[in-house]
Amino acid sequence: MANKSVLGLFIDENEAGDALSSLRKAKYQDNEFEVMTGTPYPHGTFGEAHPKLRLHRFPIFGAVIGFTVALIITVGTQLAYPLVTGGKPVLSIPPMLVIFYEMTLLFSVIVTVFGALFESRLPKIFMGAYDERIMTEGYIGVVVTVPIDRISKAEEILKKSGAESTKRGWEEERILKKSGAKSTKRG
Amino acid sequence: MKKIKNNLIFTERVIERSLGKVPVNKELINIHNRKRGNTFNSFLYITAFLSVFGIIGIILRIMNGFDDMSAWSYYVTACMFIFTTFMGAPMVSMATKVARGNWRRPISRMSEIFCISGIAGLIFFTPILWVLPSLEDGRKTLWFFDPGKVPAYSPHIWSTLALLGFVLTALTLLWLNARPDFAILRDKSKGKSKIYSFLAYGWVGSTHQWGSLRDRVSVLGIFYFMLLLTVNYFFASDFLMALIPGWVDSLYPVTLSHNAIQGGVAILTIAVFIMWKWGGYQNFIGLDQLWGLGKLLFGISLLWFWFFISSLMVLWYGKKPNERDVLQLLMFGKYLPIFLFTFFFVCIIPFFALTLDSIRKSYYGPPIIALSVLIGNFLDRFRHYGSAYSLDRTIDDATHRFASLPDIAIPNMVDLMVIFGAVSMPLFFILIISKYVPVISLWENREYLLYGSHEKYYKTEVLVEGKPY
Repeated sequence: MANKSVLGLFIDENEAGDALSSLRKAKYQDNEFEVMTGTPYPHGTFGEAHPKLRLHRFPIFGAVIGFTVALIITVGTQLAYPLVTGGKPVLSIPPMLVIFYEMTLLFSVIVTVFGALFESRLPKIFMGAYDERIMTEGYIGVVVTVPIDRISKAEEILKKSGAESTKRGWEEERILKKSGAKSTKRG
Repeated sequence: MKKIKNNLIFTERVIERSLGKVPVNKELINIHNRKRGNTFNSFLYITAFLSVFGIIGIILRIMNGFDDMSAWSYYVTACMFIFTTFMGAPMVSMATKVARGNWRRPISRMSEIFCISGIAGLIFFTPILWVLPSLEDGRKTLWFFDPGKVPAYSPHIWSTLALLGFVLTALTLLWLNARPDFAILRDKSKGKSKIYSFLAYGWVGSTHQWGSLRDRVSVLGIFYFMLLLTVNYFFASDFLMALIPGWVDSLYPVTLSHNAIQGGVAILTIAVFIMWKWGGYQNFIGLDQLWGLGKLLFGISLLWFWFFISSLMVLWYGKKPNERDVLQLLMFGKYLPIFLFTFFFVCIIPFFALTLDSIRKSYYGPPIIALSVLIGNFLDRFRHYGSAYSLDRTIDDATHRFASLPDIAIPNMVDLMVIFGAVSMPLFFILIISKYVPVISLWENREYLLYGSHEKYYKTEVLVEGKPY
């Protein structure tokens, strides 16, 4: 069954936090709801789960690739064209360090840039339930994304917790618009 | 409302406003969305005109050929000036973010906007790749070279890669930091603004997105710093020191990076002053910001002397013929006036002026001193790159010294076009982008409202600031 989303808009931080507690009590999982804010609140303000970020893996992954490429380039070149310089061994570390450093750094940067795009959930074509007032007026949004048979109960919990208004995700709006119904914005 | 010497500092004002139940950032958004005045447009047209002038200068310089390196001395100076001023400015945002300094919030976006200058830097840098001789001329270099086996263009290849990485990081940082603001402007326009919808692309302010923003800003900020060092390392070693026989100084690449940060702080100070004075942001920029930048400038200017004297000692006591030549070339020979002016503008003036509280802790003092630093920075670049690219590298067999030292080159019309173009093009990009990117970060100032408040403390009132983990 396809997932649908419902958004509850809160003015008060405590009420938004209560909504999360109520959702948990009603057996909604942490990965089924998310808090949206127009400003970065400290982690745990609403009792939300700490997001699992993988960004730090990207620079390390890039660094490993970059270092490996640098190793192949420098060792490969020196073995292919053995040049004794200043009486030093053909494979000496100091002259390779500059290339190691630069390649490691460059690959880390490139992979981090792509990682940042990936972590940002880009490209995000389907916005789900969202309200402009979150970014413009400072409302706190609690969005629940669950199969459609559980959406009404989630909406009820949000309302009971003090949501000023609730709103269904655009997917449903589009379906209703096709069938001639009005917007589902409530509150 | 509390006043300090008749001027309100930023934090008090914003907090006062937020307590007044006015939608946060409404005024900032209005200032950003307002129609730009005649002064702004005039500067935009002037910088656009001078940028075109600069591009014509580049074309004319290329048409004259790449063989005569001395003809390129002003060109290289101008290009390096971009990297040691405009591209140093973002470091203020990166460093203060990592240090979690709250005073930076109103100026961090302006600092990040300077990242766009990297495009101008790339445009000016590209022809220099043809000016820099290949390693076939036998000069001392860090790179391996063997005719017919190992390519003679290692400096060109590696510096270009580093530079591309630097500019990519800079532009990514600017976009990532500004993305929440694009979302605010997108939602403010009710989705009508296609450019903000595109730039914000999917930003909804979820916990996950804010968390990853924090992480990636710190990671990319560190990369930016590392690449700043790397790029300046190449500019110092391959594009300068290798061209002056006998100049062996392991400190100079770091000196150039330091000069870039000093130039960056200076140009940012001037930009912040312009925002405060004429940009309509008097309510959001206060003494704290210019004072903080003044303190940074003071410390960095002191450091200039340390770098200078440390390098001088090596050559001064070394006394080898080629080391004496290097000193003659860069400091005590024909370039002595340039050296003295550099020293005066970049070290003496900032040091003695910013020691005084009345200048450092003022609105007008730091930007005036910053102007002095910028003039000194340009002269310093000319002292090094101008002399290196004008130098005849023939060594007299009898004395083991340079056969001749170059005179100070007088800039011709093409040089002037290039110099004005190099200064104007980054400014043009900054002015253009400031129409789309809010020059004061909306989300960072909003965030501050969560962490700052005025509390009564016995018989006075203090500003309490939180710094969450």
